[in-house]
Amino acid sequence: MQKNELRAFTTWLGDNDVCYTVVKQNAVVELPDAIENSDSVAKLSEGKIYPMLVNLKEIKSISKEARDHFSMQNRPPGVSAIGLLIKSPASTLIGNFFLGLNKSIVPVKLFTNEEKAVLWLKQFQKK
Amino acid sequence: MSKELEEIYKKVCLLAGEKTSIKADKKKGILTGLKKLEETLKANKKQEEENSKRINEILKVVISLANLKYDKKAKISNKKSHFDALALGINMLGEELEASTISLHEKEVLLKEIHHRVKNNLQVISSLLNLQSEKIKQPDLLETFMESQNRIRAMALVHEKLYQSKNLSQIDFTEYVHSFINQMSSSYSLDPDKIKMHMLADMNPHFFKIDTAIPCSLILNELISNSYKYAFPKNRKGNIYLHFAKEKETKNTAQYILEISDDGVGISPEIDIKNTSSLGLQLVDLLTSQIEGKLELDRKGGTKFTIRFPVEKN
Repeated sequence: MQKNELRAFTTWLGDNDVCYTVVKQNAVVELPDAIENSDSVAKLSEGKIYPMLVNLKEIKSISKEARDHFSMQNRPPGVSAIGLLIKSPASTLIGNFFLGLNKSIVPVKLFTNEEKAVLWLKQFQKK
Repeated sequence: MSKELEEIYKKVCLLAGEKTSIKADKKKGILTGLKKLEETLKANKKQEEENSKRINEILKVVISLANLKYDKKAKISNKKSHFDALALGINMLGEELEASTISLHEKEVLLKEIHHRVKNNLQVISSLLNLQSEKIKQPDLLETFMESQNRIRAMALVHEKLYQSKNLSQIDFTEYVHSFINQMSSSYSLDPDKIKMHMLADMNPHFFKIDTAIPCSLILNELISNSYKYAFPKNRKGNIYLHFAKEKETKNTAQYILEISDDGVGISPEIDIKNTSSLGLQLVDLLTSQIEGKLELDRKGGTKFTIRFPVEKN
């Protein structure tokens, strides 16, 4: 399993056909980080569309430009659904922004439990 | 140990000593307990001060956002506390607010652009009419084209004055009248030695909104055109007078007078301004009603149209 270490994220494609992104400890996510993440996910996916689990637990902040990029409003979505893992007050707040103000064009749901998140994401796997 | 705790310790020892003989290890225990209590109280006080400082910082950002100022951001520490989440939330809301609101400056630029475009479009229409009129041979039709051109130019001038004005919603009508007279004189290319234009407007600025400025500009256009065209036939010499002033004012409204007169041949006594076939005079009557004004015609020694109209104060 190949893991990509980016400035603000670690990304990999799981054996369960779910794409994983973990936000690094106290990461301040800016637009270049968001683009780097999308590029990394696109490379891992090799043209296929997978559901994605994003672990936001350790995030510190995220800029408006990065949020807009992740909402995928003006570009084709590289993923079929997004599960957001939250824990800290900041990660909960950012998660709620993606449900309300920075709505994504693919289904998004917040979770505190990884297993439940993966279970929900599996229904969006393309056969 | 602080003075207050030292006092408490002394009192505790005194109390214990009065009833039982207090042992040294018990004294030590009391002392340790009190020290711990003091440390906890100090830590709580420090936390309270820290919390109060952060609330103040966040409030300052909220106040800035309420004033539509987006440059201030709340600080976020690495502690992942509720205060950090609150600061982050306020910052993110500010960013969303900034992205979804039009600043006052942008609004001004947009309004200026609109008035500029309206003026340009009106000028294009006027030029098109001019080009078309070059092919017209019939004098009556040619005159109709010229009248339409003048009406369009009068309105274009209002929009030009609007985008040059400070607040983009009102124009100084005194200034407009002066510019209009220049425009009108060049349009009719009349010899100033034969027909003299006299401006009796006071020089104070009088600001009108577009709803008043456009009808007034068209009234001015119709009445001055009429004088130019009909008052001085067969090379007759004469004068046209334009009087514009504020007559009186109350708390909420001001009353203005717009008077256009000439010492020409005079308007035919058969013409009833309330029931005329002349499009120009019909327009004057209609536009006067639009601004809730009163129109009077005096036929003595030429022609004098007087329009009195109210303008609401800002």
